[in-house]
Parts: sequence; structure tokens; C-alpha cells
Amino acid sequence: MIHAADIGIGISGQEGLQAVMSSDFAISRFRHLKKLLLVHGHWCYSRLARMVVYYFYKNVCYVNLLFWYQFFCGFSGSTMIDYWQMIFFNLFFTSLPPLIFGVLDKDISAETLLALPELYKSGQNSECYNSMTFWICIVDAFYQSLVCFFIPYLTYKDSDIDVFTFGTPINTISLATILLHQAMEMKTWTIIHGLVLAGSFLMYFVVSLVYNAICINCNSPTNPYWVMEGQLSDPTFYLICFVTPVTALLPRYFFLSLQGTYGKSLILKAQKIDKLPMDKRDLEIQSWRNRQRPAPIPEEAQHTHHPVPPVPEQDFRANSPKSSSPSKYK
Amino acid sequence: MSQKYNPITWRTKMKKTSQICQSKLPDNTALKQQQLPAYRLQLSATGVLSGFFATGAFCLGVGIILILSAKSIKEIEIKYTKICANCAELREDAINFDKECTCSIPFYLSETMQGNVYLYYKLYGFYQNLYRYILSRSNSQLVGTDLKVRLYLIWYNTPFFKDQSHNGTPIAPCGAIANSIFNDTIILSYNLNSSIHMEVPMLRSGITWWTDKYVKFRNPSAINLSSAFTGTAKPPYWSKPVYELDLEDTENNGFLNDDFIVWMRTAAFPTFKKLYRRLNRVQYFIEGLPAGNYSFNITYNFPVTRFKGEKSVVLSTLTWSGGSSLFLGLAYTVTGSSLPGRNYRLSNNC
Repeated sequence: MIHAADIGIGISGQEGLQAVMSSDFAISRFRHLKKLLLVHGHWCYSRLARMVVYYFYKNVCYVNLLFWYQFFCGFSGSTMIDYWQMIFFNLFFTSLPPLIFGVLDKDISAETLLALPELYKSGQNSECYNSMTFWICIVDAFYQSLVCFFIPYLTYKDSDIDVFTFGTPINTISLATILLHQAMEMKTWTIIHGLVLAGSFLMYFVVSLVYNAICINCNSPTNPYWVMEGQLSDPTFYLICFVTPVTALLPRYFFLSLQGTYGKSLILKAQKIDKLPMDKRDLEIQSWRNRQRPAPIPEEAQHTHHPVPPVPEQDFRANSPKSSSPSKYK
Repeated sequence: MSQKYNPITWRTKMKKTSQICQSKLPDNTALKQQQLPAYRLQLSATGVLSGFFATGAFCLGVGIILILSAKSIKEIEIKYTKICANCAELREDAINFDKECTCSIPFYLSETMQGNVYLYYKLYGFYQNLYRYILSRSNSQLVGTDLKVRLYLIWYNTPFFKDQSHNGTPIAPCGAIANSIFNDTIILSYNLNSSIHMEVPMLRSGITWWTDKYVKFRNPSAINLSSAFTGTAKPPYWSKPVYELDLEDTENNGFLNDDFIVWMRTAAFPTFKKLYRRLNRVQYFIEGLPAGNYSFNITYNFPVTRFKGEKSVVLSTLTWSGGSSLFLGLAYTVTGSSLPGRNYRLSNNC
């Protein structure tokens, strides 16, 4: 059965380690199963799904910049971004933040997930990664790449700018937009998230400045000698680098705000609960669970009025048999 | 051997197993237990509202400043392909390469152009950003290390790398970019009155990037320039070899010629302008270009009609924000006015 399942969980015990050795996850007690499913299962799904959607967005957004340029270079395949910087873009500057997001992000806290098992349904219904979310993400990527290309294009249109000097602000702008998009996706910020985002952005400038200061005759046809340094001393560069990410991300921010206000999904409601202070949070969870249950029998009413204690797993361990038993009698 | 269940042995075995199990537990650190101190972004309505208002006000302010500064730039552009139609027709046939053709375009400047004035030539429909065109150069030759282009890695640019009519001598400077250099001469003259015409003094220097002129482009070292270029040939479309580009100024001759360097910086779009000359603010033109009658005398050499392109000449002043494009100012103004418009829908950001 463990082999046949999508995910097999083995419980190590006295009967031997055979189940453990053939499983994907191994736990030592039955009671750990609850946290494994409700908390880690939910987090795994949410992180992986959103990370994959983000990777699709990132690549569509970046490569489309090169596509829009083809309309202006006779479709000959010239790229306005130096190809080492292109490679480093995906390799160094935008690879760490989504990885950290995929490892550490928590969209809903563990306590809320344990207290509200209905939230597990979001994973079963593929709410994070379905046709709709995928296509919205791709359309968003197209829009953002349009903005990231055409605002610099319209700014520099009739001027005397050269190919690779045009590519530098575009590269910087798309990096800023992509990293800010990631920042908007992150629900909980730890010190690692902050360091990785800021570090990626700073590393781009450091690498770019060093590369552009050393390479006089190394990378034909680019030879980006002093291009970045020249751009950093040009006020137009800063002006475009400010307005373009703002314009590119505004619809997404708007959409997320609307969703936050009017969204009806369980996940959003749970996230709102998480933002409340501790005591209000317990009351909210209580009223949610009351709404889920039918008219309670008097003895059970005593159980449900027991306030949900906060955090440590040991307390839930003590509490869970009591709180889950009424549901058996539904 | 006794198969009987011995409780004491079982208890010690469980203790040992639990000790072994203890060592397999992941460390109880904040990172591994996912208990790192975390901050959940709490966007309060007042915080976000004030942020949006501040950003909106900033964008609006910057937008207005940019529009005003773009409006203060004076620019005049004259397309001369149609005006000099006879020259254009002459140049359509390469047989006429040695026939000189000049063209005079009078115009009237209604306002004084104050400050530094720059003269550009502008091309329409010339794709300097075509992929094979961009590749068609040898940077090691231009930097002075590999004059005879012994190691060229680009294999499909042979027409402009070796001169087939002269036993395959290497061309200096090689490549299609150098070969297609813009070779019109544009002279601006000021008509003080019907009898006095004076040529407006222009500077040929200082129109390139400093790093281009002093780092990326170097002449091969020798006592005199023409001997440095022995063993090479001039590009097919050029009328004189590279060491005769400016015989008056050695700093502007050979690969260091400013017009050559400006042309070698391939433009990003098919419609582009390149700096040609700067006003030399001396004598009569100390304040800039005074209002009055002017004329351009152009020696028409560069053929554009075959690819339906156009040429024009542009006189412009500049400000800190670049050229006369209104776009950035408009973008800022629009963003600045639309940002506060979105703020009332804000609540919790999900």
C-alpha cells in the first residue's frame, strides 16, 4: 500500500522497520500524523505550487523582453542584454529567493492549520495550482514584460542610445520587478528572506559593475566596458528604474488587495485570522468551528466551549483526542 | 536459549532504542524546526494609504518637472532626403561614387538656442542592431592588439575582413559596421545679412564616450600613422584610408577618429541619431545660436533610398534629463495621478 500510494507514510514501531524503509515519510507515533498532514502537507503543497507558478512567471517575463526587441531589430535574433548577464540573471540573481520561499514560507501558521482541518481541502482541490492560476500568471508575465520593455523603449526611442546601453536598464528593471513580485508573494518574512532578496539585488549591481569595469575586449559583440558605470551616473536610468516596476506590479497588487478584501476562500479567511492578536484569534477559530458543527448536544457543547489553547504541540496532543471525538459523533 | 519474554531485557532494549532514536531527531534549532522569528506583513490601512499618497505625490512632482524640462529644450529637425532628391538619385547607382553632390538647405531659427547646441544626424530605417551586423567587427583590431586580424572567430563576415581585390590583405578597420560609416559632411552657416555668410564654428572632439576614445580604441603604435597601417587595406566603401580621416589632428586620426568611434557604437533602434558636432561657443556664438537665417550645406554621400530610409539633421539643446522626449514626464504624471486613485480599495494585502 505504501508503494501504491502517492505519498507513503510509515510508522516505526515494534513490528519492525519494514514499513519505514519503504515509505516516503517515516514517523514514530500515530499522533504525529495529524501535524504531518494538516501542517506540513498543506505547507508543502502551497510552497511547491506557488514556487512552480512563480518560476513559470519569471521565465516568461524575462524571455519575452528579448522577444519584444525582435520587432525593432528586424527579427534577426540580436539580444540587447549581454549574454553573461543573462545567464547570471537566472543562475545567481533570481534563483535563491524562490528557493528560500519554497523552503521556508508559511502561508498560514501551524496553530491555525491544526485547529481548522477544513483548510486541508485547499490542497485536495488544487487551489494553488490549477488552470486558472497558471494562465493568470502567464498573462501577468506578458503584461509585466510589455511594461518592462516599452517604458524604456519609449523613453529612449529617438535618442542616440546604443544596443547594450539600452539593455542595461531593461535588465535592472526586470530584476527589480521579478524580485518585488517575489516579495509580494511571501507571506511570512524571516531574516533569511530579507537577506536573500536584498542580497540578490545588491549582488547584481556588484557583479555588473565589476564585469563592466574589467571587460574591455572579452565578450564580442558586447564588450560592456563602462556601460553600467555610465548608466549609474545618468539620472534617466534612476527615473526609469523607479517608475517601471511600480507600473508593472500595480495590477497585481490591485488584484491581491481586491482578493484580500472580497475573497471568499477558506485560505484567505484563515490568513485574516492569523493577523489578529492571540485572544481574538482563539475566539475567531471558536466561532468558525461552531459554524461548522450542527446544533450541539449539551454534553458536547461543553467540549466545544473549551478554548483552543495556543501553540506548543504538546498541548494539542493533550487536547486533540477530546476535540476530535465530537466530530466522530456528527 | 530461552524464548520467554523477559521484561527487564525489553525495558533496557527500549531505552537503548529510544536513545538511538534520540540521535536521529533533527536538531532543535529554530531553522530546522521552522520556528525562525518571522514577521507577517501587517499592512495597516493608514500605512498603505499614506505610502500611496506619498508615492503618488512624488511621481506627480517629478513628472511635472520632467515635462517642463523637456519643453524647455529647443530642437529643430530637417529631413533632407527629399530636399536633396537629385543627390539621392545620383547615389542610388554605385557607379557615381566619385561624383560629388552637394545640397543646400536654408532655414530660419525663430528663437535663440541658448547654451550648448549639438548637431546630430538622424537615420530612419537603418538597422544597426541586426544580429550579423553587430557581430561584424573586430574589437581586438580596434584596441590595437591584432591589427591584421589573425584570429577572427567570426566566419561569415569575410567580405569585409579581407580585401579580395588586393590579394586578400586584411582590411583595417574590418567588418560591416566600419564599412558602412556615415560619410555625409554637414556644414552649418549663419547668414548675418544677405551679404555676410559665416560658417558656424563647430567642435569635432568631445562627442564620444571618454572610455571609448581612450581605452577601447587605440591606434597601432608607430612613428607615423600611415606606416603603422602598412599591410592593410581600406574598407571597400571608404574613399580614403583610415589614417587619412583627419590629417590636421593626430588625436582624431586612425581608429581614434571621433566620427568613426561614434558610428561604431551600434544604435539600439532603426531610427536613431548620432552626435556629429558641438557648437564652439566663441565670437558671435558665445551665448548659443542666435535667431536668424541659417543654411546647411551637405555633401551627400550616404545612400539611403535603396532601403527606403531617410536622413535628417537635428540641432538640439540638452538638459540634465536627456532629450526632448516627453514620454518619461507623462509616464510619471500618469502614474502619480493614478496611484491615489487605487488607494481606497486597499485593505489587508493578502
